[in-house]
Amino acid sequence: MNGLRAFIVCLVVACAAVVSPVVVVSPAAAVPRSWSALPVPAAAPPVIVSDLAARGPGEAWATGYEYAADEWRPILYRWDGTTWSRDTTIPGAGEPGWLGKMQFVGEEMWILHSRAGVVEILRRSAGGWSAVPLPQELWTYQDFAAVPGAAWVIGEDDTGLKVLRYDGSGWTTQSTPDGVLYLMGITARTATDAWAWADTDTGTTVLRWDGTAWRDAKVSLPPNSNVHTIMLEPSGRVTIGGSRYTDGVARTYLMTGNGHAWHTTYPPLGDTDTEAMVRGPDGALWLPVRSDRAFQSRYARVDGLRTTFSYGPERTNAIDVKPRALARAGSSLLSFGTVEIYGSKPNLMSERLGG
Amino acid sequence: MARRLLVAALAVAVTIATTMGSAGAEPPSWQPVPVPAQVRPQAGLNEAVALGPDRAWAVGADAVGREAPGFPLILRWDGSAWQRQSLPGIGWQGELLSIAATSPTAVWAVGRDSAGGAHLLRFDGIAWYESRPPRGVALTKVVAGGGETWLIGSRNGAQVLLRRHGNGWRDVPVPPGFVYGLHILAADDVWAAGATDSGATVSHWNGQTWRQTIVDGFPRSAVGSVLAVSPTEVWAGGTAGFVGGPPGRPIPPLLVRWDGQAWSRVAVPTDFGSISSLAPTTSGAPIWVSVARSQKWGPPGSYPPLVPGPDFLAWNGQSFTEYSEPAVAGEGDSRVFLLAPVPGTATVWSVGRADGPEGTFAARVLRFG
Repeated sequence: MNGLRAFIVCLVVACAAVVSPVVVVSPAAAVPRSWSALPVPAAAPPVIVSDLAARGPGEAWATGYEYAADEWRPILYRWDGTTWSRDTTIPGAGEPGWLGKMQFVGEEMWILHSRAGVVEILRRSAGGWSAVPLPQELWTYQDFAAVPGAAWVIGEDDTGLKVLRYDGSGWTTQSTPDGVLYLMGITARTATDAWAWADTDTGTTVLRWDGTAWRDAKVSLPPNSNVHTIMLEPSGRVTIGGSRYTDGVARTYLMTGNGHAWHTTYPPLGDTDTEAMVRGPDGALWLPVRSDRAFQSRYARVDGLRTTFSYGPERTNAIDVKPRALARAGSSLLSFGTVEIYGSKPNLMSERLGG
Repeated sequence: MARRLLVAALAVAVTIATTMGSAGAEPPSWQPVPVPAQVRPQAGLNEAVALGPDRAWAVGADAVGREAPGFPLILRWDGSAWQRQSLPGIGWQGELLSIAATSPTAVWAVGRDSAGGAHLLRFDGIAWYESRPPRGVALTKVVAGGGETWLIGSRNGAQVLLRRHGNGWRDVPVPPGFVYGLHILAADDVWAAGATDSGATVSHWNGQTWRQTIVDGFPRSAVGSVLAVSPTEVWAGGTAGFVGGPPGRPIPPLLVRWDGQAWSRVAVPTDFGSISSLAPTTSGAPIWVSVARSQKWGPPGSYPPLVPGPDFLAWNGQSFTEYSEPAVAGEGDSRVFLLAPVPGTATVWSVGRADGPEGTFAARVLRFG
């Protein structure tokens, strides 16, 4: 009788284990819990957030610019794993200018920087700051990418589109295929593997640099679409995010592939801009989305065909919470952006998932 | 002895004079009444209804973001303070547009969610719950009176009116054009304020048909409020309309009155704005008129040329007394005033939304008397 009872108990336990959801947690990809608010020392509003970049759980940086003493000034914030603090050691901290996109290059961190009207690449190393001036001035600085051995600044001057490339010692001006009117953005994986998306006379086109020339990457984007971002991963995976227009209605699409074969999906994101999309510590794609609540941010997690949503922490008296950039910091996900508290101008905010 | 008596008499006289003076020194005015702290920014109120001195309801929305939709908001007055009404069964986001009551246990509210869907809420004396709205109708207002409850809305872009019949809603024929407001005296005695292409209109329903009159033929004039004091005294208020620029130029208000024979325009002591609400009080007490965005010409040669005009007008049968809304710290002026008279008293509530700091808006509650 005891044996039978034991058997039945085991059967019940086994059935329960099958019926109840079992979450497999692997150490490398912790199951996200909930978002928490991280205090950020205030900047002088209005404030614009440019970029967020992280290198491990104990180092992240955020760039942007604030409006202080009647001029725009660069701001740089640093995350040490526990707190956000303002870094005022950057050259030109008190001068008019802005800080833009950041890239980790080897041991260094490179930032596109405008200082009193002159744009340069600011380099931060263990020894301090140095700058790489641009070979010429541009009308607009559309994007910036940097990897060991190569950096690109793309934009436009009075002669048209400009692709400026730095190889560590000098600059060259690169040409693009015929029909390319303007480069909207650039991402680089190595000095001989960079991708850009361009506005051409036949629509949006994806270009690829292979170390010798920029060529049409022959990516069949969805019809009537644009590109928000191209994400390159060390594994070789490429993810393109953009909007497809059908009868005037825009819908977000994602194309993933290895550069040759592509798979296109249309996650339920409305027409969300995917520019801030990142690969999270859990292997899924994460991006901020427009929130339907005044007092909370909202994020989407896209895992293949499954899209789920989560809210940031509730913020008392907030009427607009806008994460602008995301970064993976070790096993947690960081966001950086602005929050508008009723009665004050929008100021900086940061949130973290996990950790 | 005589002197002591004189001093005592003087002391009494002074005391009486001081007491009378302090009681009669301040004429009644509009005072702000605090909105409960649980109301989250940004918030606004769209309408109120008072059932007595100790019970009133106001509806609107709170936690409205710069882009995010807010949440339906109901406030309850308990005689001494406004409280936030919890709405446990209401899971949608959006706002409540209108509220009306036939009795303290039959209160209706109309709402619209963030997808544009219509909602109907009902209070039965104990709790608020969702009631099934008439199918396919975008609801804008609920109006009660004479035991009747009517809904104003639209179906496929066409104006509809429905009245409560049994446990459901039945369509009522509509007058030509648009209907923006109703005053219901009985099932066969309903006044409607609205507009057609020919101008502002007031219509009367006798239970069978509508009889419509154009009360002002100026292009784009319209009336949104109508108040029937008696068969020979009916008021309607709205906007006088305008043709020509410059864009943003303020428009004069429109106030008209029926005297049993004809409709005539009533001059108001403000030059621009729109009549947002008309409210009766008890007989002997004035009729109240609220003016949204009231402005008038300043003294000749002054800059800016327009100055704030009166927000509230009290008609005593002969003339208007003008009132302005009180200043509220940290906020600007109100954008609109919706009046709710307290039956049997001379007290009137005004609810609406006012400019908040940094280009926001805030709920505002004022009370007179």
